[in-house]
Amino acid sequence: MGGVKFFLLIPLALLFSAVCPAQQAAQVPVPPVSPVVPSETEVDQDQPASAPVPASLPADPQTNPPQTETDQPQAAPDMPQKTSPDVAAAYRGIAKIEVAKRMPDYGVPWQAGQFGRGTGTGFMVAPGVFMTNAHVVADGERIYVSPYADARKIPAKVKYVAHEADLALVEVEDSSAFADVPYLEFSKLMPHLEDEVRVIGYPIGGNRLSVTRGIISRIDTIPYAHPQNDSHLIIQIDAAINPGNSGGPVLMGDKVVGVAFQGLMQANATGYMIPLPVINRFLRDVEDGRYDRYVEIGAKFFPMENPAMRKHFNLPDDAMGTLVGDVIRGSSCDGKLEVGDVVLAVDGHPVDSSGMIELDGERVKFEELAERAFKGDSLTFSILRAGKPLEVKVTLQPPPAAAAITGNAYDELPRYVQFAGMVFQPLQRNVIVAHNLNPMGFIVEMENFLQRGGWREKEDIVMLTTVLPDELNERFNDYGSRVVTKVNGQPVKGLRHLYSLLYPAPGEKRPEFTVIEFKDASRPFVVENAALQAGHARISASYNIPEPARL
Amino acid sequence: MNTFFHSSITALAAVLAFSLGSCKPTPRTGNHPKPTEEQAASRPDSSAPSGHSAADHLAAVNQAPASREVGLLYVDAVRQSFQILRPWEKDKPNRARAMGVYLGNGRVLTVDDVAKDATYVELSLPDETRRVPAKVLKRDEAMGLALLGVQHEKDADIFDTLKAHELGNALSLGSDATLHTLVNRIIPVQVPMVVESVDDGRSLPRLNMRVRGGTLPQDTSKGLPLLRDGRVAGLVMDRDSEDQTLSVLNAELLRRFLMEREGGTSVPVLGIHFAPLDDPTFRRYLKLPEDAGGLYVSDVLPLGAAEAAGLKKGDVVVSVDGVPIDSIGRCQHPIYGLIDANTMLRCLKPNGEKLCLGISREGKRSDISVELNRDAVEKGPVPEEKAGLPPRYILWGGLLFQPFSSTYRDTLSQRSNGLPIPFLQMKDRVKELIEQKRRDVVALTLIIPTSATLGYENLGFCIVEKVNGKPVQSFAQFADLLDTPTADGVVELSINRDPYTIYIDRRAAETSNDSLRRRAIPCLRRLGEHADN
Repeated sequence: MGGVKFFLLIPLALLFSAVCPAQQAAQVPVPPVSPVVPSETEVDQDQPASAPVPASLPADPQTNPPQTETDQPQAAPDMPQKTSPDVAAAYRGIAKIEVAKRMPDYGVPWQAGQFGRGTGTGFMVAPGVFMTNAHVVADGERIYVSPYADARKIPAKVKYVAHEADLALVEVEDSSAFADVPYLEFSKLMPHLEDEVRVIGYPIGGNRLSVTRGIISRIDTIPYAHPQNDSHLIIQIDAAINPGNSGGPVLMGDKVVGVAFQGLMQANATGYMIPLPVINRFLRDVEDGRYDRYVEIGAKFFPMENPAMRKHFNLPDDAMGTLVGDVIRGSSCDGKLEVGDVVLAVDGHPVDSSGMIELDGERVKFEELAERAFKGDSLTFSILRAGKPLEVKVTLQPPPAAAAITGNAYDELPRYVQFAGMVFQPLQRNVIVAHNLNPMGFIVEMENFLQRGGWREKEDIVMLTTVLPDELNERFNDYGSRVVTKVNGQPVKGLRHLYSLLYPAPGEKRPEFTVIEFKDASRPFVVENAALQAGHARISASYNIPEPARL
Repeated sequence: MNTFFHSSITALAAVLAFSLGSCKPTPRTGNHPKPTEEQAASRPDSSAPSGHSAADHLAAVNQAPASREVGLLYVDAVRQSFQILRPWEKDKPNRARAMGVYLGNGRVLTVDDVAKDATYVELSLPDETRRVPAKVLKRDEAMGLALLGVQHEKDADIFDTLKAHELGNALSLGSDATLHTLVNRIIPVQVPMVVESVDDGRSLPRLNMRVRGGTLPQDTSKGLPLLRDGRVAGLVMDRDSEDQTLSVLNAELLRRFLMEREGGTSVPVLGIHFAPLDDPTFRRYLKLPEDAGGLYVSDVLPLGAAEAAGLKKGDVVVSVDGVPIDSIGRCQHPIYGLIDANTMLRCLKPNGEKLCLGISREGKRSDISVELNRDAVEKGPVPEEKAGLPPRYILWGGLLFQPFSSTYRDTLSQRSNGLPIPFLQMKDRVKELIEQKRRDVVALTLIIPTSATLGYENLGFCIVEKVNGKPVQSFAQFADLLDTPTADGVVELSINRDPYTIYIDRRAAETSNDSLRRRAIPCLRRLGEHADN
């Protein structure tokens, strides 16, 4: 999947704060709705009762023979059950979500960033509570929910957000507008290939509801475009999913079987939805009022297809068993699983040589078991170690916070330290993208930090990302971006540590020079501390940097 | 599956994805320390008058000797280089042509372009009356020079009618010399030229020469001599048609080349990376006087000449053989004038001699004597491929093993815009490799899908640490380890990436070898003449 690009389904009109607010409306994309497209049905907002219903209703789930129960609860218990009277009525619980955003610029971390607006779709899952995509509300400064066939814009705020699963729950401030609106129910059953589903939402920024229809084309685990570093289960459908559909429900009959969330750039008629196991996991995770994140096993597994490898481990020629290829230091299975262990089964599910198990009638990677587990849950690995069978219980934990650097960060302001015109930032995905950093400069550090337990010794990998030319650094302004190793001989353990080394407390005595060392640099950067005060005042004024650091 | 850790790493490494199909020839790149600052020698802005034709040059010729008597020959070569990324293959052949100057004793001096990777070389008289096969007597890639002779003794009479030129004295800034060339292949022309500036932006200094009051003749090609008093004072290495200048290698370096033993080079590599010392704050920090110069030692390469002499990272080199280095890193060369100190270190003395470096360490001055050699690029754990020799490899059961040379590494890095992590990690292991006295680091560079490599298709680009539990010491020893039978018929390879150990069935490997040999690659092994022991 390396070269495949996903796009998120949220139209975004970027605008700078300086632009006249009156122009904002003009920048929202106009919906190119074409009534001749047969699969798309326009719903008249003013007359919901007479809204046309899709020509052929999908078969009732009950009558679909091979359905399997998902083993997760379908909704949080604080969301009582209520049945929608009919399919059209279900539309009333589907709202347009308008979000004013401020996206920080990691290239110029002290600045406000870009202002913009986006629209998406949400559906009510409990009174006044709407489920939508995390990317619809990410970096949101102001959120409005517009009910179906209603001109009002009701202010809302994010209740829970799981960026890694691209899901969020948004709660309106005043739920009275939705008092008589039935909320949508989740299906108990995971759909199967060829089942027919409908995608409902407000695509391309339109004000009117749109419905498209399609079938389940594939069930797979692929990367989620919103976090960028995480893969989960998805369902691919052949219904048209367009920007603005994001967060909208995918219905089978009158039950929700997924949330529309991303498309595929290079292919026609492929839309992706977040399926029930991911949704249910999110809802159960937040039951305790807090989102705890996914847990991980923390090992790499290697297929055992080679006959010589099987012979070495005395395995029969039955295509079962997968090899532990690497164990990530500090992960859930560090100290439990070892490189060279052969995993024969997990929680009683036999694991085949490519690491697949059978779950709910589908063949999935056995890691899917951890996908559906929660912090503190455990998995029992039946392994062969040095030829001897062994049962190993691995208690699952979320990956260390440090691991977040490989994914997109949202809803936070970029951290930085500016010193003598040198801008330091922690290594994280947003910084890498904003500065277009060459991986060759940090990839070994990153590997050591993430996989070899480097995160235990330091908080961040600190990079010099920008040099703002000034007389303090004029002979050092062409060194590019580099990993910071030491300040005055002391190894740098993170951005906060760097700040304390560069900006010691007022009473502390400073040496004559501050010396900053970089990995693979031709020389250290040296500044005379006596020149700093005047220099910092000058740099702060000329480059418009309000604060020397944001930690 | 929650793959916070490795999915991202793989994604980043995907940048490195590199396809075999894209293999194209690239020049081998050496590991010379790069000059830290571009210091193109300044050129006086004299606009050359245009409109001169060959006839004008002819007019300038006095008593032109018959074409054979000038001592010039054409050199035609067919070249075919090895593909280091597919070492059993050679690139498409291509042709190259240059001029050569006859030095007497059956020796023709020319540029290395026609000798490097040459499969067939021919010498011809300018009037095309005679063509004979030639052989390369010696060549020096670092200098860019080659010396040719006839392949068959019976053809030696081709030189009979040629005038032999001796090597003369070196040129310096402002010197005059005459370019000897042939117009329309047969009409000898002498063009008066002057040394206008020195180009120190390359490994060795070159003279930029301009025609006195005219333009370059059309056919000016590489390998033509510049004569002074009838002796060779320089050799044309390149021409810049736009600028109407020639890039000339000086006689003192030509002489050094002629004195070299076969297969070697006299151009030393000290193994130092420098940084300039033009930052006054940095100078004060290093306790250096404000008004002097010097170069900051950023890095000292392991096992190199500088390390052997005791130079350390953080030292400041202030002088070379008593000549001070100025604040932007130049020093006064007896012939070339003010040139980049990096170039000075390479051209001042040949390998084997001693160079005296003035050092400032923590504010204290001292002198260090460095014995010049190329150990920094030839002796380290990741050395250059030996010049002119085909790359070594073993293709076994579909697994391609190669010595992890800097030549291989740099070619891969160039081709794929980066390196895979297992290769990048070797940089931090240099010390360990030296302590282990490893003569070669062996890399698993490619996996061809065969019955023996089933399931391993996505490996590759990693280092082989052990074979059947025995540490790899050299490429030849690795070959022996691979050939040593094991009780269960399974060969165990320890590699430096997950899953850390792979197992290959010997019989499956041999079967795959047979089919590879029959269908695609006739030779599965090249251990090389320079194999160890």
